[in-house]
Amino acid sequence: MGSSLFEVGLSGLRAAQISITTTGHNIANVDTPGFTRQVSQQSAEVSQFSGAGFIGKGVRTDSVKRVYDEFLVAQLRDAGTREAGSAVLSQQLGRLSGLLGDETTGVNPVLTNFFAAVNDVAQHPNDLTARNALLSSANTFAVRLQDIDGEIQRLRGDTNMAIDRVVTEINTISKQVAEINDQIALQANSGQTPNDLLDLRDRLIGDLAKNVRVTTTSMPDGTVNVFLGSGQALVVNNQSYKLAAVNDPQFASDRALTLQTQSGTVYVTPSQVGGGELVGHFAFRDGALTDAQNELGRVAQAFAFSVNQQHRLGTDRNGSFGADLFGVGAPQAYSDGRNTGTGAVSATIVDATQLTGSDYDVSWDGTNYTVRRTSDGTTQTFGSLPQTLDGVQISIAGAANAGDSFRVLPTRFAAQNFSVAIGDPNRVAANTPVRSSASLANLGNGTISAPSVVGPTANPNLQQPVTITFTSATTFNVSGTGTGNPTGVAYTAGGTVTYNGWTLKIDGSPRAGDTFTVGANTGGTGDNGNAQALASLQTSQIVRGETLAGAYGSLVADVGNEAAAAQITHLAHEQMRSNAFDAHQELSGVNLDEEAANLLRYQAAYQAAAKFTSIVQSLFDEFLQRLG
Amino acid sequence: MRISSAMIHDHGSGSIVDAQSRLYKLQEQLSTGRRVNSPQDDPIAAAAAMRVTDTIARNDQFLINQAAAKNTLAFAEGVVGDIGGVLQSIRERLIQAGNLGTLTANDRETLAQDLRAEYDQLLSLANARDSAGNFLFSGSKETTQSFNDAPGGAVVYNGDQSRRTVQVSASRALAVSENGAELFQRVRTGNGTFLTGAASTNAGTGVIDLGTVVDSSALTNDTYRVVFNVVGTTTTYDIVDVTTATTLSAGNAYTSGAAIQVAGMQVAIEGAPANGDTFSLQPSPNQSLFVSIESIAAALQGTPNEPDEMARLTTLMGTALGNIDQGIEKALVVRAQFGSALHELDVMGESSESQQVALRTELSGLVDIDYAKAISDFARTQQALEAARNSYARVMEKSLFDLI
Repeated sequence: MGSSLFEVGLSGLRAAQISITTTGHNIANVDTPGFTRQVSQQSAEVSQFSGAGFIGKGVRTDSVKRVYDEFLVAQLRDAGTREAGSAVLSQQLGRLSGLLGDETTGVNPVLTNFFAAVNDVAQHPNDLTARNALLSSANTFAVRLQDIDGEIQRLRGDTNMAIDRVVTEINTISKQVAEINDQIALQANSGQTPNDLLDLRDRLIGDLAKNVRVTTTSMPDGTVNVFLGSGQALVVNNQSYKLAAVNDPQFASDRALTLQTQSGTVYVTPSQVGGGELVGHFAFRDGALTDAQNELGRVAQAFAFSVNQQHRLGTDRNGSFGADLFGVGAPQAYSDGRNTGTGAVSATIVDATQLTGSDYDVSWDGTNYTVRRTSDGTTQTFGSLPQTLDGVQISIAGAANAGDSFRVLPTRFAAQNFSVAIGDPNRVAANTPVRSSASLANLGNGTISAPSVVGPTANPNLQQPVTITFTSATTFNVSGTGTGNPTGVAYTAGGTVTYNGWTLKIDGSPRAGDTFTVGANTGGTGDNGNAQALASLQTSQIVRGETLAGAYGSLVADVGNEAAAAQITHLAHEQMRSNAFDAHQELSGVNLDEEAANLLRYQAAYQAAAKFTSIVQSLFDEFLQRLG
Repeated sequence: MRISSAMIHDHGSGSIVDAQSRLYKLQEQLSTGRRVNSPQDDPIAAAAAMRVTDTIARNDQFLINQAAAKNTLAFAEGVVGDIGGVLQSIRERLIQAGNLGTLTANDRETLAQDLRAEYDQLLSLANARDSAGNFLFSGSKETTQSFNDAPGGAVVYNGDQSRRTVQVSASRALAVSENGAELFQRVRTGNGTFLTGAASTNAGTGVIDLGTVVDSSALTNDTYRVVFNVVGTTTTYDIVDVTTATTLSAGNAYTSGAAIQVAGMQVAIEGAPANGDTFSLQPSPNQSLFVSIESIAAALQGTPNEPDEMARLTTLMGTALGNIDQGIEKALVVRAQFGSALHELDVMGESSESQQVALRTELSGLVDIDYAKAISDFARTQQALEAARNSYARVMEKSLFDLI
């Protein structure tokens, strides 16, 4: 009887002590991330039967539990995945948008300067200063393109490095989760939950979820299995499976993912990973970043193609036909690292004004080549190569085996290798190669316009002397190499006359015997026909229906739109995460005032139990004294 | 709702950071004067701003081109005006000469010398250079001297027949020069349609005038001749189509000064033609102004003082006057072309300028800030930040622990 009194008092003291310790633990961990507040759970000790009925034996602490809801934790984890993914995308798109510039920076101002210089040459075709200024503004344009491309390339490098870093982090975390699983399993038999280990594991899985989308399955022994978004295992019991960033077999400069599985290492796609920072990086790299780089390259290709084409139709100060004014990076094609055949695909630009800025995947199934435009996924099937689509000719050398695939990047490297190909200002082809004249002996008042050159390439007989002789007021004969010497050609006043790659108009009323001639524009260095034609490219729709400035503007606007959308998405995800955090905290977070109140409560309980024990003590003392 | 200490802290500090970030954005807008500092801020406005800026830049280019075209045209117009002046002064000399009968050989010599002086002046104008030192009238061969002098007015044109053009708007390439061949060489003789002349063998005193066109639809490419027959006191003439060798009419009675019509052309012959004298009518060929001047100067010097020679010289003087008139006409036409081009540029310039103003306003509306709005937003956000700070400090100030 006496000992049970002490027992009752001591049980109260013990229970209050545990509660105070738990409260202290909560207070101490108020700022610990991932900490779940704990409460001690007490129940009355089983009472003892006596003649007087059941007599209480005090209190006992069953366990210290976390105040925890698995659903809320999973919700917070998912919100974290979304938030982390959209944060990466928003941040990187913001950087990309910034480096592409706006109406005062970026490519358009230097493009405007280039065409201003071309216009200046058109004003003063013989002025070496104007010609030098044209070349220097061409250089500035080339450098700007290279700079912007360099920045994009740097972002690509950063993104690939970030992928490496995230993968390392994922592996570190999954290894730790596996280790904690092991420790938890060891304590599984105790019947109690190792609260702080569970918190630590939840926190690690939460960190993991920021990197990739994960799902978890709780096992009876307390361990948790962690799976990637698509179901591949990352952690099973005490075993973690390694994710690795390797060179992309389709394009070795980029990173791709592999995952170690029980049946060997397999490639996993970003969509299999599902979300988080890792996918944010992939989405940025393979989406906006690649699009921007391709698009910049497309502008470079179209610009170089059209300017070069026009430049070759003119003659320079030495009377020679123009050479290419700009050099531009050629299309590249890559064989997939897993190919078994010897086939090698190559690509050339046929018409840069038709380029789309997309990449192309070519695959061979043994019967057909399937060419897939990666931007929109449309495919075309061909029995043989070479084939031309969207201004690109795709050819193959060697023999591909069925299942082999190739990637063609028509514009990716165009801006990177954009250069000015001419250094001598005299070689700027500002002149029209041909001129026309009306004989002074003409009795009629027929006039002949200046000829313009018909592209895309100069007719080999362009500069051959050609004579147009009127045989009557309504007919004429043409003589000259390349014209076929037609006779009796009907004349319409103001109509065009086209031979040997030039075209012009004869107007007025010529008389029989009147002659007009067309021939090489020798010495005509003051002519600005070709410079004007070059200048007019500024307003020509040479980038698949858009002007150069328009195409670059679209690029900037597209990236700006994406960045703005990503920012809004990120804000929404942040809000969602904040809500999930609140929901979780509402249940599991530590409130210091609450803990203070609990402390008071447990203090009172402790004091009461202590007092009880002391009373029991004095009871015994009194009893013993009476005895004594 | 249960609140955890972490929530109190997170929300409190979160709203402070939010307000600070809004304040930062507004401050950036205020300091740059721009609402859109990155395309991300307002992609639609940014895209429109790029389009507008591009249009402004192109218009600027056209304005520069227009200014350059104006300078070139104004200079060329001045030179062509000077050319017209020289031709006008030649014309006055020729008219001054008036009745040749009253001129002595010395007078004619002086006149010829004067004409040669004008010739030299004209040649120097024909070789005019622009401000860049390029020859104005060489067409596209602007670095080549336009004309080289040669004896007998056979001045050689070294240029070509091109005109320089300047792109003054997206759709308009304006011609800002004229070539020397057009201005000095492609000049019709006589009255501009046909050329009359007296045969060098004429022995009478018949003088033919420049003639006029009475029926342009009857004009042909053929050369005609009026052949006189004098039998006693009766003078008649035949009209012969030399090209087809057919006599169109014969034995027409001749009255001095009466109109003679042939194939849409009408001429008058004055004086007393001798038997066998012939006069010709042919479609006007082009003739260099230098040839026209030099040939009349040579004729003035070399003609003896005899009635038949004087009659021929009178015809030549008439022709020369016609030639010079055609030259004056040509210079006027070219000058008028330049003038109308200048006018076109003025009109174009005005509309380009006002377009630029409209575009700049549009651009400003797209990307610039509305200061009033930005400043009031700034003040409001500042207030919100202050409130967030104060409330957070208050919430964190007291705890139950302070009381136990």
